[in-house]
Amino acid sequence: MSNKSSVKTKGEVTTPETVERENAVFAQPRYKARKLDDVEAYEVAVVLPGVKKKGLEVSAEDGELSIIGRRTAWVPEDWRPVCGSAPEERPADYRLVLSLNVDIDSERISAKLEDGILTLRLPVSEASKPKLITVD
Amino acid sequence: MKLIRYSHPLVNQFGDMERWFRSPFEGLGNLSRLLDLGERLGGAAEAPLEAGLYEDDDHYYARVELPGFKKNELKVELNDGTLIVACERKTVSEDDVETSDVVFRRAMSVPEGINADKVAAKLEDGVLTITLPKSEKRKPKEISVK
Repeated sequence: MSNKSSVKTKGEVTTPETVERENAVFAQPRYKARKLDDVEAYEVAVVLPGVKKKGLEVSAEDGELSIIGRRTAWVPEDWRPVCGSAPEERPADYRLVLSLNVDIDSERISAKLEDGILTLRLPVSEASKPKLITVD
Repeated sequence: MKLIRYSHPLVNQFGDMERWFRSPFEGLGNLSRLLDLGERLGGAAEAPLEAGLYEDDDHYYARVELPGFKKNELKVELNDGTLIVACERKTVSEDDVETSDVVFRRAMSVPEGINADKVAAKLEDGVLTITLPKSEKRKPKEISVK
């Protein structure tokens, strides 16, 4: 992934934009974003039950963080719902797009998928970290 | 032609379980607390947590999304015909005191026709599946016509 930079101001991860594309039915997953205390990085946790590692696509480009989680089949084909106690439609895959107001070093994004929760660590790129300039 | 309303033969016995799946998540209002994420979860039009009850010839299956829980935080008990699913959140305070809070608990009576000894539960990718084998007399049998 290349490290694209764009001019941004304050270091906050903003609320998401849901991007709707024609003919693609996605559900927006629950998520939570916060700035980590001890390092120059952000953490984004996304609730993605039913998604395995191989169904996950994460990319950060042009100030956008995009997460797609493709679910494994909700139930096997030969299972029949017991009279009305089951969702009528197969649950949709997940898609989340977040606007980034801060430069992320996309090469160093780390991701952990555990118990249906994806945790992403987004380090701020070196160039945008505040630097201490010593006065001679 | 007379119209007869068809009622699944097990509907009355499954009453509890059906109600559970229609509104399984009462008590899960503050999902952010469950997931221990601290702040309020955001996002519009959030994907709901799925739950459903299914069957094939040999088993009933209860499948519920419960993301963020580890196996040891879930308790599934079958006690004298009652199936109980509970989620616990364990926290350790600064002076190493471990507290266990029950954040979600559902009990339902298991209908007859289930082999209680062989009920199994599996948690994978944040989805819990409880498998309830049908006892022999509940399985569909083909009757040959002589």
